[in-house]
Amino acid sequence: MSTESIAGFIAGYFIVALLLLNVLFCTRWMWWLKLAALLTVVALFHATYQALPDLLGWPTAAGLPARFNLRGLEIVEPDKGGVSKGEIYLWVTELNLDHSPQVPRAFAVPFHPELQLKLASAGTKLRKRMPQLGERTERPFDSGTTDLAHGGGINLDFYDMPDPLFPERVP
Amino acid sequence: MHLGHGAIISAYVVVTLLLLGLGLYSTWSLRTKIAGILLVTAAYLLVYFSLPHLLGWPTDRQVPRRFNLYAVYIQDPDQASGEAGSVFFWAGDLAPGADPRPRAFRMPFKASFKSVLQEAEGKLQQNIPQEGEIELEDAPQGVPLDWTRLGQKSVKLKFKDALSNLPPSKEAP
Repeated sequence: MSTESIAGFIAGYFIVALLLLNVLFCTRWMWWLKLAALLTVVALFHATYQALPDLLGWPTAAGLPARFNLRGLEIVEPDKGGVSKGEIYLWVTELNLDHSPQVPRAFAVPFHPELQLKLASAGTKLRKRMPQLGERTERPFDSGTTDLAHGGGINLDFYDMPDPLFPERVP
Repeated sequence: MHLGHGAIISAYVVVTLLLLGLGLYSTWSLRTKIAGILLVTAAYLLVYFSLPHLLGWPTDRQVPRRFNLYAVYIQDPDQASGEAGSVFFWAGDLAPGADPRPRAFRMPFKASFKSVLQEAEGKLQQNIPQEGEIELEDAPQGVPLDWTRLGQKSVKLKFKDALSNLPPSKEAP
């Protein structure tokens, strides 16, 4: 969870608390209305705090890094009836050539047959223990069926991870 | 829609009601009321744009009882930095009617988790789908050193080959 998002939520809580204080001290509402407002806000704070984990873990459509280390993938093909357009799920970590600890994050990108082929190949290499480096590209798909800028599609390229550099030999 | 979305939408509604109450019934000056409205609008936008940054990261709660394993990532404890280590896995809930999307989970590092997950990962690499199962150990042995984990139940992680997901054998009649 990023620091910005935590700060955003704390700011949200703070502003609600500020509003509540003003309701309690700056209005001429009846005491039971003020008590109801106080209880509602306390219950709400508790409910949102408890609800946050429900949101975690699920793939997000935004914020796929420009370059990443592919950890896992799952492809849901579109159904023949056209109800589901299909989706590609990726589990990735930020690219770290220094092998520092990373927390993997899940993303969802729109299904595209060309991307499916690239991912199938990357998945086969992953299973052979060949780490895969993913890179976002602005190049449109060869079939030209998706306008990347306006269609919400994402095109990716995959490469074998470079071998870690050996430290220089000290004479 | 699950509880997460519902609770956050309720939060927006309650804040709007509070602001409305203040706008209509408080003794504030007009300038202060406008400042309050602008502040709340800014907070709405802040929370709205903060939400996507929360998504996608692994959760350490609600691990399903039975799940389909998609991927594993293990971080060993680092004695130099004092990092306790974690095991991450990406899995789909096998409960009937569950959300079919894969979900990312995080569990504290344990040598037993690491060994079963590595074994399951090895089988995934051989194209053998893995079905995971969580068992709660009701009678934890001993007391955790970290008091914040007093209420936490100990769990056992098991995997078996999900043979039902494999294509039928060519030798079968």
